[in-house]
Amino acid sequence: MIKNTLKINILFILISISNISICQNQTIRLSVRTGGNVDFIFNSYKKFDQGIVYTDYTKLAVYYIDTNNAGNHTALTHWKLDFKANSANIEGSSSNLDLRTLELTATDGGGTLPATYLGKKGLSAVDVTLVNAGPEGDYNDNLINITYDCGTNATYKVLNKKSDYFIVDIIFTVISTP
Amino acid sequence: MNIKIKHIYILILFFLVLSFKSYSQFFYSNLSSSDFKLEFLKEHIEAKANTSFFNVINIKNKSENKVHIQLNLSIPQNWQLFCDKKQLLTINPKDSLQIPIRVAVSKDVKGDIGYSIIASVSDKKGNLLKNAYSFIKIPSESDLRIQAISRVEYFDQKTGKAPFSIKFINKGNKDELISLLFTTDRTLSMPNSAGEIYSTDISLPPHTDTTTTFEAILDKSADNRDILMHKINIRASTIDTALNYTVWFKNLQYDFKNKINEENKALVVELFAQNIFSEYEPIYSTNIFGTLLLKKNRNVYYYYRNQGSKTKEQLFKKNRMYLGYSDLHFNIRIGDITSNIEQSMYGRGFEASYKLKKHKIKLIHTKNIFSPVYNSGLKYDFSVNKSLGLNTGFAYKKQNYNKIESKLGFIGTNFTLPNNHRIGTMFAFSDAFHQYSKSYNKQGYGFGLNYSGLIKKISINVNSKYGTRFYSGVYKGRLDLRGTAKYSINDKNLINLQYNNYRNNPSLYILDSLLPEKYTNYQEYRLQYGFFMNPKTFFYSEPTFKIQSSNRFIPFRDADYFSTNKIGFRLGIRIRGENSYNSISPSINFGFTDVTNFSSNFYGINNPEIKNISTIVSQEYKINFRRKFWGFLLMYYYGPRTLNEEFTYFYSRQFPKTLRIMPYFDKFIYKRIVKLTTRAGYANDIVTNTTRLNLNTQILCHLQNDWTLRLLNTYSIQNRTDKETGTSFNYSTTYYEFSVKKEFNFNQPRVKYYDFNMVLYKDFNGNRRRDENEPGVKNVLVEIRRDEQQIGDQNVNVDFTAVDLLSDNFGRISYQNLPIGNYTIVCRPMGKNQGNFNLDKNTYKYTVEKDMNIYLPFLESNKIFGKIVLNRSKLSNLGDIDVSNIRITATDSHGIVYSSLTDKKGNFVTFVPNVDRYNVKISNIFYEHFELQQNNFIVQLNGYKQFELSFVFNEKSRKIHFNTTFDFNQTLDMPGVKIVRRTSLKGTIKDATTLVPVKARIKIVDRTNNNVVISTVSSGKTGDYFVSFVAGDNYDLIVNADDYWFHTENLFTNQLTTFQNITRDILLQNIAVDSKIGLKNLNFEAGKADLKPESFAELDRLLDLLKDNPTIRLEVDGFSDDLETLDNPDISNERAKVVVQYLIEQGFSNVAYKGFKNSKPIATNDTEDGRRQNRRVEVVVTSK
Repeated sequence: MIKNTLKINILFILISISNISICQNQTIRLSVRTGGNVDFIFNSYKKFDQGIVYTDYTKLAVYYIDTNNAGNHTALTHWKLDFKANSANIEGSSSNLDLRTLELTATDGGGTLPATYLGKKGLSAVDVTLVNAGPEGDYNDNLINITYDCGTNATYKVLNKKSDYFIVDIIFTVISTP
Repeated sequence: MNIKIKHIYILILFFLVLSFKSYSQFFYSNLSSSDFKLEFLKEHIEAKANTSFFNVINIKNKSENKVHIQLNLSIPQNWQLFCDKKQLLTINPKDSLQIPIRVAVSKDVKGDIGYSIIASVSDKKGNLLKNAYSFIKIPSESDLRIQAISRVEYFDQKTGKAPFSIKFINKGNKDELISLLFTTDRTLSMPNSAGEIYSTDISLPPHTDTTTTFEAILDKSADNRDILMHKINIRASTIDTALNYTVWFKNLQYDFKNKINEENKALVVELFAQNIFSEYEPIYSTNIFGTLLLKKNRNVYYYYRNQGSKTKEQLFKKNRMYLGYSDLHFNIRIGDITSNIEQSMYGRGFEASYKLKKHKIKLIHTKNIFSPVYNSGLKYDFSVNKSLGLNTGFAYKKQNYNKIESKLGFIGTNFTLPNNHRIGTMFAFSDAFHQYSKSYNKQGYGFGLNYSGLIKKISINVNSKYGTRFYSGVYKGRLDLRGTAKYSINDKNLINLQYNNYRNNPSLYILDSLLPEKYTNYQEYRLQYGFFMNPKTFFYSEPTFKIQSSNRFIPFRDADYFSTNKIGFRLGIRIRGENSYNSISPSINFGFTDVTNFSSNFYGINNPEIKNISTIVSQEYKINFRRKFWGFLLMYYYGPRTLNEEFTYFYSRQFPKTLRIMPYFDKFIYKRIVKLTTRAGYANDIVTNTTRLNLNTQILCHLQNDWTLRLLNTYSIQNRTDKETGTSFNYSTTYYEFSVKKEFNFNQPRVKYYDFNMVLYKDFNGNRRRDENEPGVKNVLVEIRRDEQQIGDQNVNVDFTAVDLLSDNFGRISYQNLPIGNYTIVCRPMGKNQGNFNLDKNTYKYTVEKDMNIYLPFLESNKIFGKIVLNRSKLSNLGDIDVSNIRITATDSHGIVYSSLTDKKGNFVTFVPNVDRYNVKISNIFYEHFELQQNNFIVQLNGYKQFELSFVFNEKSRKIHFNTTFDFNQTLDMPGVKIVRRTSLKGTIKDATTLVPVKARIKIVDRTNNNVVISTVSSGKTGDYFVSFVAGDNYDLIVNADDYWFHTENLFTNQLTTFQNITRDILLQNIAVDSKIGLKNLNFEAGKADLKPESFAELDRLLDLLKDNPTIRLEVDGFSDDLETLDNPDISNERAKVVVQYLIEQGFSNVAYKGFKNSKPIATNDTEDGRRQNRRVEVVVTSK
C-alpha cells in the first residue's frame, strides 16, 4: 500500500525568445494557451510503475512574421521551438529526480500551417529542439500541443523514490531560423 | 498467758504482711504509666500493599514489682496481624520484654494516608496504662491506564454520531482526579465542546476502573468523503501523570461507485470547442478512443483525434490516430508513432513488437505526414539470463526535401556483476549520405553508459549518453551526464554528491548547407547535506558550483562565447504536517557569479569599454506551501539566475528583480459533482516594470452516467511601463475551451461490470425472506474483497477497489461496477443496533456474474438463560459471595464457543445463533467451597428459541478429619488436648401397646469392636433415660427389657459440633406369639446372603435374649427385593437359612425358617434404598 504521495509539480513560467532584440523586422510571440502549470501526482502503484502520460496537455501558439528579406542578415523565414529545464534536476527537498524522467512530444495542434515535429525528447538543462522549420504565421496558424510522459521511460522510473514535491521550470524558446 | 497471746498476735501480723506482699503482685490498682516503658523498635516504617513488615515492641518494667499486664495491638482495617491481638504478659521487676510482631498490609491500602500500629498496655481491669505508635508510610503509587474499548469507531450515517467508550483503570493506590482534554479534528466535534476542544474530569478511587462513554459528532456540512480517518486525541492528566491516547473514526458510506479507468472502456467520446469567445475562429475537434478487452488477454485499442479539421484531407492529415492490437506476445500499432529506435521514428506508419521470455523484437516504419521524411527501425533484445542482456538494432531515415539519407546501427548490453553492480553500455555508428548539391558522407558515433551499485555504503548512480555532432541519432551533438553518490551516515543524516554535465551542439543544415556551431554547455557540482530533525522535518544545505558557457547569443560572432562560474549556497527546510498533504518548504539560495569569458565585439563592433565586472551576487527566496485543496509557491529573485540573465546584466546592467506568486485551488465545490481547479501565475519584474499574470481556471462537472462537462479558461495579461516615457503597454489574451465527454460502460468480452446490492435485515419470522415489515440493520461493516483465485483471465486489467461500506438505516449496501469474479464479503455489526439478531456467519463467498441483489437475514438469536443458585450452609463463615462476572459458555457441535458473563444477581443470557445442540458449562470458580450439582447441560435448540437452566452450587460441609493413627486414649492423657465432640442421648422407654414406662437396660455399643461405650437404666416410673458419651460415627443403641423384644438402632450422628443432643423415644414390643422383630442390622447386598460383621452382633443380642427365654420358638423369615428375585428366586430362603444356621451353631435350635421371596415388601422396590430395606430377615415368635 502506498501511503505517501509522490508529487512532481512541473511549472512553466518562462518564455524566452532569444533573438527578438536584434531583428527589429521580426515579430515573434509565443503564447501558452493553456496548460502552463501541470501536476503529476503519483498515488497508485500503476502510476509509479508505468508512469503518467498527459496527452496534449499544453497548447502553445506561435506568432512569427519576418518582414526583412533583404539586407545584411540572412532571411530568417522559419522558427524552431527549443525547450530546456532551468535547473540540472527536477528538484525536491530531500532528493532530486533526473531531468530525463520527463519527456516531451510536440504535435500539431490544429493550426493551418505545418511544421516539422521531431518526436519525443527528454528534458535537459540545455536547449533541445522539439519543433523545426516552423513557417511564418499568425497564432492560429502555428498551434502546438505538448504531450508529457513522466516516468514512462524504463530507465527513469519514479519507483523507489522518496515522496516529495518536485519542481522544475521548463523554458520554451522560439528561435528564428533560415 | 500474756506471752502466749503476744506470740499469737505477732504470728498473725507476720502472716498478714506476707499476704500483703503476695497480694500486691496480683492486683494492679497501684500500677502507673511511669512504671512502664513501651516503645516500638521502628517508629516509622515504609511498606507497600500486599507485603508484610516486622517490628518489635519493647516493654520495660521499671518498677520494683513483678507485674502482669495485658498488651493490646491495634492495626488498620483489613490488615493482618501474625500474632494475638491481646496478650497477657508477666514482667519481672526491672526486666524487659521484646515482643516481635509481623503485620501484613492490605492489598487495598491507599497511598499518601497515615497508618499506624498502636500498642497499648492495660491492667487487668482494662485501665489504660500506656500507648505506643508505629507509623506506617505507604508510598503513593500511580498506575493509571486508559484504553478505548475499540480503537476505530464508525459514524452512524443518519445521525453522524459515533459513541466511543474509554476505560480508565486505576491500579495505583491513591485517588486519581483525571482531567480529560479531548482535541478533535476540525471535522469532528463533541457535545458541549468549545470548538475543537472538550474537557471533563473523572474521579477514580484506587484499585478501581470505570468505563465512560463519550460521543463524537461529524461535521456534515463539510465534504469529508475524502478523509478516510478522523481522530480525537485524548489527554488524561493527573497531578503527576499525563497520558495520551487516540481514538480513530471512520465515516463510511453505504454505497460506492467503482471508477473504471478510461483505458479499460470500449468507447470514450469527447467533443471540444476551443478558442471560443475570442477574436479568432473557434476550433472544433473530436476525440474518440477506447480499448476492446477480448478474451485470452487480447486487446484492440484505438485513438482518433482531429484538430479542427475542415476538409477531407485535414480529417486524415491534421489529426492523431492509431489502431492497435496486443496480447501477451504481440503488439501491433498502425497510425501515429512517437517511439524512438535510437533515432526518432516520429511519423505515421506502423509499429510491431513480439515478446517472448528471452527475446523481444520491435519493428517500426513511418512517414512524416507533413514532409517527405521516411523512418525505419529494428531493435532486438535478447535476455541471456537474469544477469546479462544484449540488444542491437538498425535505424534508417530518408529526408527527401534535402536528400539526406542516414543509416544507424547500434549494439548494447546490460549486465549485473556480483554484489549487484549493474552496468549498461551502448555503442552506435551512423553514416549520413548527403546528395543535395554534392555527394558526401558524414559519420557519427553515439555512446551510452549507465551504472548503479553500492560501494562501501555509498550508492552510486551514473546515467550518460553522448552523440557526436554528426551523429544522426536522437543524441546528435548532445551529452547528458548525471552522476550521483549518496551516503546515509545514519537514519537522520545523509550526504548526496552530484555531478551534471549537459552539452548540446548538434549539426544543423539548411538544405545542404551546414550552419555554424551553436552550443550550450552546462556543468554543475552539487553537494547536499540533509538532516532529518524528526520524521516530519528535514533540513538541508547545498553548496553548488556551476560552469556555463554558450555562443548562442546573437550579438556574438561565431567564435565568441560567454561563460560564467557560479558558486551557490542553498539552505532549506521541509516541514510536513500530520496530514501527508500538508507541507511547507522554505529555502534561500545565494549565488556568486564571475564572468570567465566574454566578447568585446558586440554586434560586430569592437568596444574596448566592455570590461569584466566584479562578482555578481544573486539571491533567491522560495516558499512552497501545500495543503490538500490549496497552496502557493512564492518566489523572489534578486539578481540574474540564468546564463541569459547574466549575459543581459553584463552588457546592459539590467539587474533583474522578480516576484512570482503561484497559488492554486483544487476542490469539489458542489457535492461530488462540480470541481473547480484554479491555478494562477503572477510575476513582477521590478526592474523592467513588467507584470505578467496568468490565470487558469477549469470547471469540471461529473454528471450521471459518466457524462463530463469541462469549461477551461486561461486569462493572461502582461503589463509593462516604460520608465522614461511613463507609457504603459498592456497585452492580454483570453482563451476558452469547452468540452463534453461521454464514457460508455459497455460490458466487454473479458471484463464485465455488475452492480452488487445487499440488504441486511432482521428476519422476524425466520423464513429467510425479506418481508415488508422486516427492517434493515444499520451500521454493519461490510468489507468487499476480490479473491485471488479467479476464473480464467479475469484477474488481468480489472478495475477493482477494495472498500469498506457501512449499511445505512435501511440496511443497504451498494457497490456499482463490480468486476466479474469471485468475492469474499465480510460482515461485522458495529454497535448494538442489531440487538438480539445475528447473521448465520460473518463471511460469505459470491461469484458475481450478473447484477446481484442479496438479502442477508439477521436471525433472532436463540437464547440460553438462567441463573446461579447458591445453596449456603447454615454453618458457613464465607460471608457474602459475589456471583457476578462468572463465565457461561455454550459450545455448539462444531466447537464454536459462545459465552457470556453473569450479572450481579447471577443471571446470565447467552445468545446462540444456530438451531443446534449446545453443551453449556459454567466456570466453577467456587470449587473450593462449593460443589456444583450439575455442569455440562446439553441444550438441544430444536424449535425452542429460549432455554432456561440453573447452575446449583451446594456449599461443602466442613469436616474435621482426625489422623487415622490417632491414639484416643493416649490423646486423653496428653495435657492440653480436649475431647472436642460429645453426644448427649436422652429419651423415654415405654411399652408399645400400653405406653406404660418400662425399666430397661440401655447400652451404647461401638459396632466396630462390639465394646460397650456406656450403659444406663431407664426410670421405671417415667421411662426417662440420659447418657452422655464421646461421639462416634458407628455406634448402636441397644435397649433390653424383660418380656420385651430388644430394640436396636444405629446412631449415625455425623456429629460436626462439639456438643450434640439427641432424643430417642423408644417403644418396646412385648414378646407375644406371632409378634415379630425386625433385625435392623440384618440387611444384605443384592443377590447375596452373606452376613455382615454387624449382623453377627445383632444376632448375638438375640441369642442373649433367647437364653433368658429358652421356651420361645422362632421362625426366621427371609425376604428379597423384586430385582434380585428375578435372577435368584431362592435368595430369600438362603438368607433365612444363613441366620438359622448361626443361631443353631450358637446353641439355639428351637427355630425354623422360611423364604417369602419378594411377596412382602416393606418399602418400594423402585429405588435402591427401598430395595435395600426389602432385602431383610425377620424373626417371628411362633410359640412362647
